[in-house]
Amino acid sequence: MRVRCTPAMLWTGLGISVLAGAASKTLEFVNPSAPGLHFGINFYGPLYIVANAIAFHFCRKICTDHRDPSTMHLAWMLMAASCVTAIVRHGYEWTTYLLGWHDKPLLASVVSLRQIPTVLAMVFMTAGLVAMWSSFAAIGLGVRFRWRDAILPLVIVALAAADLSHRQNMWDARSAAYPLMRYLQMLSPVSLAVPALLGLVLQRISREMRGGQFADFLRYLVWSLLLRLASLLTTFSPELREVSVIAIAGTAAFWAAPWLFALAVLRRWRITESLSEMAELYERDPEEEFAKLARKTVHG
Amino acid sequence: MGHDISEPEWLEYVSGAPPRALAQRIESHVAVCPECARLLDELANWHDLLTREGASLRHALQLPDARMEEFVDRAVERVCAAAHPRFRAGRGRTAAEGLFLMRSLLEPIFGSGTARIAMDLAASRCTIHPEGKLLGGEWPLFVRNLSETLASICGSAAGRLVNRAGTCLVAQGA
Repeated sequence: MRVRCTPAMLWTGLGISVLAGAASKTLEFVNPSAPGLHFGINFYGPLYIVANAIAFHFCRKICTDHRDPSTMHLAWMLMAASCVTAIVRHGYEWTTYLLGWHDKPLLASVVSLRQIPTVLAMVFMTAGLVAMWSSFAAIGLGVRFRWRDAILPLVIVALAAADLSHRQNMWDARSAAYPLMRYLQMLSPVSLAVPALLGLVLQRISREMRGGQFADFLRYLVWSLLLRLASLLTTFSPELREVSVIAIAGTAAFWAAPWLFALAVLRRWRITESLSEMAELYERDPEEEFAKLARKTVHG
Repeated sequence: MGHDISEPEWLEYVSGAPPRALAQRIESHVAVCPECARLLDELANWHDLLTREGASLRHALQLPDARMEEFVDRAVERVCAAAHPRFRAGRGRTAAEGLFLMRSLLEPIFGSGTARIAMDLAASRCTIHPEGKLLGGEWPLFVRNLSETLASICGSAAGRLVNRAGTCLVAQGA
């Protein structure tokens, strides 16, 4: 039996993730010694794997719709690679958690190896976004900026700098055997800020598009990138971690981010599906379709 | 002065919301070019006809479907009759109508900004005519260019749709 993935399913997944993230963080504030709390806090791992697997599936499908070689084909290949490395990262993290390695200081260095797929996923994502932007830029979209477009990038740079100042609080700073892992995690605010900055360029493109389904997809993509960065700030900053409302909201955002990305990719795939259906209709009965189009246009 | 105004630019001007630079360029050109002044008159009439028929249709919403279909058909006939021969594509539909329908097709998916940019780009690559205007004979090249442009950002499904719809627009009049 084939299950057709719908936006409603992904919204449900996102809702469950947000609720589970918020509930586990709330419980941590209310009763830090509650049984099963640690399991609940780490349960984002399997949810991330599911969301990334869905996103990977649709990235591959979109990729096959683009001519090979082409810049957009490369962009979606890189996005798919980013999803796969994210799955590897969370699979590794979840496995080490289930094996109880997170509680053993001697194994902290082994656990810290997750930084390799983490950074790789962001590198692939960044490269994919650059490739996507260059495709739009080739037709003249996303190449003109105004001064007010600089405001949000400055906010993002400030957020990344704030995250960097808390690098000693990062979990894998304990990695004694692999100093590289420490440096890789210290870089994580930067590796999240760069895609978020590129996301703002895509946001500019979505405005230049002036409406349409494609602009909606870009907006979802941008929000997922910004959400990742914002949630990182609340995770690393000790001051914000102590403010329950912010910590709960930050955790919920962190759990929601991959689902929002999957929703963006699904929206993009839906555009391809609808274009294919329309092409068939125009092939079958062009007269009827143009008459419908003319009527729709005249009615406004 | 050459007729350096492309067909999408004429349409944008006639639709009533052109950028200031475009409006100034067209107005200064029309002031010295009687041929384009006539063309502008005809396009303006064409736009008025469409607007009037659209308004009639909107006021006639209570009418049965058959009656409304009749309104649309009459509007299309009057638009065809009013069109300038220079814009005729294929043997029935004009290039202006083709552009109008193509834009209507693309805007809900890609947005009006993308549709305009992609169509301008596709028209600018039709270099057959020295004045840069899109003539009927250039329609297939225009469609191919537009298909390639949209396929580069939205994949082969977008390219296929533009190709099929564009080809039908010409073939219908044949």
